[in-house]
Amino acid sequence: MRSSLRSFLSRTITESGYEQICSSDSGFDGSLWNQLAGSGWLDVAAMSSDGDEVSAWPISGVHMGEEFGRALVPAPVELVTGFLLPVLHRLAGFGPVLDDSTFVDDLPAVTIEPALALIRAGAPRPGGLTVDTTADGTLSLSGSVPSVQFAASARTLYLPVSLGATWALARIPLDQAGVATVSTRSIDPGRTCATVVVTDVSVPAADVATTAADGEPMAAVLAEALRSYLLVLDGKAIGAAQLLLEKTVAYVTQRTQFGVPVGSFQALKHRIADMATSIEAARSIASYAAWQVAQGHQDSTEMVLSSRIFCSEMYRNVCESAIQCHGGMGFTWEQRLHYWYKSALFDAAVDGIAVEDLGRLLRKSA
Amino acid sequence: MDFALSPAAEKFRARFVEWLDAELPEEWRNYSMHGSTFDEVVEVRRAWGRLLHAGGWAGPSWPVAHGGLGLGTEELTAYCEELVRCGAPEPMNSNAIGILAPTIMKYGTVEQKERFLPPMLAHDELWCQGFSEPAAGSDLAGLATTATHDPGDGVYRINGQKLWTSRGQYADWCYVLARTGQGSKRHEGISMMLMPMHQPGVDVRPLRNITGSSEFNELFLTDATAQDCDVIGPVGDGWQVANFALSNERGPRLIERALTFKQEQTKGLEDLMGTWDDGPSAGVDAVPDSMVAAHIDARVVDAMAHRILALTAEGASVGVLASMSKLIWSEGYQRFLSALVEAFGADGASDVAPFAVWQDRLLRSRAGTIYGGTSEVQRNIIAKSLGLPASGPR
Repeated sequence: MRSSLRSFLSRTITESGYEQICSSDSGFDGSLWNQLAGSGWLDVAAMSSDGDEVSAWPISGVHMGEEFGRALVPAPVELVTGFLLPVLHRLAGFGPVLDDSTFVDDLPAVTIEPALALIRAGAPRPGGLTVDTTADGTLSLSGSVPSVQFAASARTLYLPVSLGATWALARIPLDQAGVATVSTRSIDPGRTCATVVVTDVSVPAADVATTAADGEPMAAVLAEALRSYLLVLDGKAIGAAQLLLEKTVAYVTQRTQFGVPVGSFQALKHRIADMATSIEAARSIASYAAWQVAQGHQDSTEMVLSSRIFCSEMYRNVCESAIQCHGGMGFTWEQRLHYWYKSALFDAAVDGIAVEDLGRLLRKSA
Repeated sequence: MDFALSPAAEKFRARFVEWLDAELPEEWRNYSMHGSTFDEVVEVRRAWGRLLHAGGWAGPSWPVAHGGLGLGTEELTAYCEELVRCGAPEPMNSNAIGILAPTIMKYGTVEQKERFLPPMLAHDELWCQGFSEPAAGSDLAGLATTATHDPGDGVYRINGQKLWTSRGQYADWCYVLARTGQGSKRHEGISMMLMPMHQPGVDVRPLRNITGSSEFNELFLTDATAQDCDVIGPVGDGWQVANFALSNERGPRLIERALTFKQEQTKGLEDLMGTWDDGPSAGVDAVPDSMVAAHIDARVVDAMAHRILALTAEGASVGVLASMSKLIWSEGYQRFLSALVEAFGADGASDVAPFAVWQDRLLRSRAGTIYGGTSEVQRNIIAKSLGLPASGPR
């Protein structure tokens, strides 16, 4: 299954195609998105629950993430695969019909940032959004939602909102009066962001999900999807780092100085051994965390946060080592290492789980 | 990959816990060597080995035919987890039971198995290991100790010096690597043999370690003898035998280390919060970043151990993951202890509980990146597995 996803992605996303998308005005390619959305690959969570030969979700999510990371997909695949689709599958009759053409010509904008308060201890970060609820369940929104990936190219925003004691998922068409997207480029050229500014926007009750089809409160549904999304991001980090390790081993084997391959020098060997070791360590904790989530383990949130912090740091460190081991070539645009490095920096900053988040959680449970 | 233990393993665990609850003396729970002389530690460890044997719980991975429990990977995991959970001392002969015994079972004669295995398991005879030498540490094939065959007396006469021989001053027997001949390569002509410790040619000189206690020794061998029927495996092919022996060091140790790291990390955090003036419930918003990093590292080590055990249970090869997990454990564990002692502030340097115990653990942990293949050797092994070019002589 992974090898067919790998070959699908390598056919669909070429090096030159990636660079074209990154340097285009919108930073997004609708036809590439339609190929991804129409391929069925994004809905791995559904495949897992069908009980075929796919690993249990979110273990399969880690594996998918690895392939997304190798290929470095210039589209919000991790958010859609890891978060949005798992949530929508729990909500009957909310949002689009889920089939092989879901999201074709209909890029969703997703942000998880407000919902992170559900899994990290401490006060929610002050958001820029005010939410008023009317008696008939209509929401009225004003304010801004920052760092929404690909929002300028999307048609619908899926927004987790806190309603005081409860949570909801709001579905907000972006092409309506009162909604403006202010595009910003990010450090990751393959990942445009926008701030979505809303002014007195009403969201009818039909577009506000407050419970799952089985009656489970939205807070639990969102927390579950957050865990799986963070694990898909872990997979992305692992897959990307593995590719950079392979590139680095190949480079130091063919590059000679002082009459020998530079990879024969122990200083480089040990640095590269550390890259490989941290990748396998990350693979171990991510798959263990995913297994715990799949088993419904009690302290799986703490494991997921631990895994996210470890994998995020591992990804950045492996990129930095790869650049160093490539010498001057590592610093060039053409060697392409920078694309992964920038994605590592982006992933650590946006939706980032920080050491202090886990620190608060540990303190709370002490 | 399935990380869960089988129902059979969980059933086994329940029986073992029941026995431990009834039999493990209270004063041996959460056992710490700190504050005891090594003589006292040895007494406890020997007595615990005997108690396990008497209860029928010794030799977890030994076949039942040799008096062991014949546990598979998953039962063995449960067994190790429960011992760590109650903080039981390490049985005195655990090195021999885990490393030498499988080697005797694989390479030894029927007579050797019958002679040596039962008293080893019963802790009636204590063992030590004679591999390393002053000039043969990481480069074990550089060993220079010789064993000359004397067919008249039916013995080998052993001459040389061994180093880092743990518990040598208490041992009755030593398994020794020595040169019995000349090969065309350095690792040829080596043999492994069993040598009695109580004889005039064996001089044991304790070395004081970093904590101040004398647990390992130098062995000076001057015409010390081993019976020629006590060579394990083919004469001259001891390199292969020794490598098999050392390969047994891994699996169960990993689970022990991982769980110990996790338990100590939890306890360390409690001890640290106990030093805060306003107690753990107020004041400081979050635990220090270094302690969060230790929390994560402990979970990474645990995940690697479980992954390796799951692979082993599936019959898959572990390969270089063994080296990787040793690196991640030894270096992460040292970082944790060092950061904890630092986080204690001035208290961390004082000689009162609980600080002195943490200092002792920190000092002991320095050995982890040296024994069983230094961190540098592990990195060389990993680099080789990645296909990096060999370093030529320069």
